Amino acid sequence: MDSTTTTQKQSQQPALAFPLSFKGKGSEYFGIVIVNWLLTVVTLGLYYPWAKARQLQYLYGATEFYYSRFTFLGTGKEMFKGFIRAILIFTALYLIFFLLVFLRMPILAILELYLGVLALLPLAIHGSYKYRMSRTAWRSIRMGYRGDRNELMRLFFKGIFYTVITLGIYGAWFSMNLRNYVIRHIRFGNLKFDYRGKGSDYFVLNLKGYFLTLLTLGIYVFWWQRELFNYYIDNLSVHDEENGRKFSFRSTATGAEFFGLLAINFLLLVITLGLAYPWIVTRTLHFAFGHIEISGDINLDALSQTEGNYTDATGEDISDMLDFGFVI
Amino acid sequence: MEHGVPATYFDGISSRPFAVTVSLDERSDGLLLLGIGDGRIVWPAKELEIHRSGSVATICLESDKSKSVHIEQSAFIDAVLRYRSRKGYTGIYSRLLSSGVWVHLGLTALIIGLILLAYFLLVPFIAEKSVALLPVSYDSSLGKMISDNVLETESVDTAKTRIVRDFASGIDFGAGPPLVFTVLKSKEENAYALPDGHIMIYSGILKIISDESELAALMSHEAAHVRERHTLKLLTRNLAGYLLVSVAISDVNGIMAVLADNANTLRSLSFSRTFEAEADLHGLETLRRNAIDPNGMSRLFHALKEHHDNSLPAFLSTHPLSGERIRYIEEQNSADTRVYPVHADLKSLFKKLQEGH
Repeated sequence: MDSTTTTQKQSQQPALAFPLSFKGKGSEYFGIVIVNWLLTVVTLGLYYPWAKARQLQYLYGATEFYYSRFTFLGTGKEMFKGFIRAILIFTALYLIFFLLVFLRMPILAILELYLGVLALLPLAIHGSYKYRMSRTAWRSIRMGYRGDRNELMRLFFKGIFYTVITLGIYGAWFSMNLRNYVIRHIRFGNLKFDYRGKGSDYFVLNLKGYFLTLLTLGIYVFWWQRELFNYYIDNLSVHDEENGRKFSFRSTATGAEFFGLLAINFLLLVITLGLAYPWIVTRTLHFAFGHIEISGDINLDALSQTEGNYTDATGEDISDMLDFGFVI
Repeated sequence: MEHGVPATYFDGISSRPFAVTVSLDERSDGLLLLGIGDGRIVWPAKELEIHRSGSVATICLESDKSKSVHIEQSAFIDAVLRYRSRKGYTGIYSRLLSSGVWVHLGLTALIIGLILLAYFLLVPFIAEKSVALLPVSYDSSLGKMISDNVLETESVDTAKTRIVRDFASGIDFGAGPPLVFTVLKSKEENAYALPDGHIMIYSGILKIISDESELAALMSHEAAHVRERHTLKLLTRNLAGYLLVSVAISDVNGIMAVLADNANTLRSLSFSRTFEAEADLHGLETLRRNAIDPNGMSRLFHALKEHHDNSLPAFLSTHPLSGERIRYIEEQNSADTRVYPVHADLKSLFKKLQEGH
């Protein structure tokens, strides 16, 4: 067997940089979005899951990590099942809501709707991650999400409870607990993702962001965005536990750059009445991936497949599928 | 084989890259992969799943996505895509996608055109037809829900209500369910009609009215709203417009959805203006049929406009009154040279109503 060994030599040395970039073009993505739009309109919205699959396929395919592209392996047919499930669940929630209104129990009706949507959130997060990760591959090595649905539900409702009784203050701790849990259960072949977010840091960051934004009449909001982005990226790492190696992530984005990105995105959207959307997406991804530095000593040519075979997708997989595209 | 290009193969067991040569083998109708072990692997062209982004593509088999080939040769990827399309292995999607930027721009214009066409022609048509299908009892039950609520929360001026009802019984408002006029105690200068035939007149507006023909004009205008089922027409138009907007736009993005939603609201405002003009016209007809001076209508609107030159009275904000509308009414009346008789009964009832102040 022939193998390209040029890349293997580098991995022997510690702390190398591993480039991540987005190579998509707005004009290419525009074609995809437009064709999808046409088919979605013509089919009265039924094409939507297929449209979404096509768009994800393009965006993943345009994302390059260490000279290889990502692949989205999901299909419209799979996502259609999740789409139908979501529609059925929401229809049921609304039917019960209107039934309660009809029975003149308006408070119960509102309670039912709120609690229903709230209970759906952790399920949707779980389903989204499980599905999305299982269909994400790089060099044919699949990612995976191994979180437990019930554990996430418990974490979620505990968080909601404390957030309500502390009048929102616990929200920062809640967000970090949720993010820590979800990211720590992501696998990338034999690699494990890790996130070390602290509620106290996140709270101070947001408090500072909020007051400085007020004081500067909104201008600080771009620097606040940068802080949030940095906090996400800088606390992220990937581990090869067997060999004691790792990758760490670092953000290089500045507040001024964030200002440039968001202000121009906004202007483009408004001037074109929304038609510039594909360029907004590619610009944003180009910006985000272009401002993440990855360094470490993991040998990327030696990842092994650990997540279940794609063709073995069983009923359990499908029942977890409720993809809303959440990022936590 | 002679047209083979270098590519990278991933076996789905590890992330180790294998250098291979791929070529399009028309004899075996597939993608020929050489360099994996000793053998030659053929992936049937029909079963290929090609993820292309710019000049790079990842290819796998639809039936087995565990292995993949990465190709960085734009010309070769084009050749594979062309071959598949020639063989009829691609669907409408790929054909549309590869049709180029001008076709895409044309499609954009086409979709927007279709949406606008559906919105401006189809929606009003469907709304009109569906209202015709709905039984009048639907108007009554919808209106009753509101009128019950209004009568519970607002205080009724019973003396004036009795006079106004006597006044109304002297006018023929045309065929349809009975109209129930009610005077509500309020400084607000407004009047409105509910679909069940309840017409609410605030005592505030009565103070501006100076003769019986003006009162008759106000009542005929509101009665026309009931007779023409304007509330239901507005509801169905808004609903149909909303449905169309959400189907057509919701997939695209947030800002477009917001824009379209607001456009829909604006459009519904213009609908209500059309309905106001229609109610004016039908109101004038009612006045003429009853031999009541139709100039009462233009006098009423002038009075309303003058009475509150700076701050718009409530009646005008819910019944947007443009100079154009008054001019139109006056035009209609100027051609009418009839001399209208004095209605002694209505006149005396109106006097009684004014004395009650």
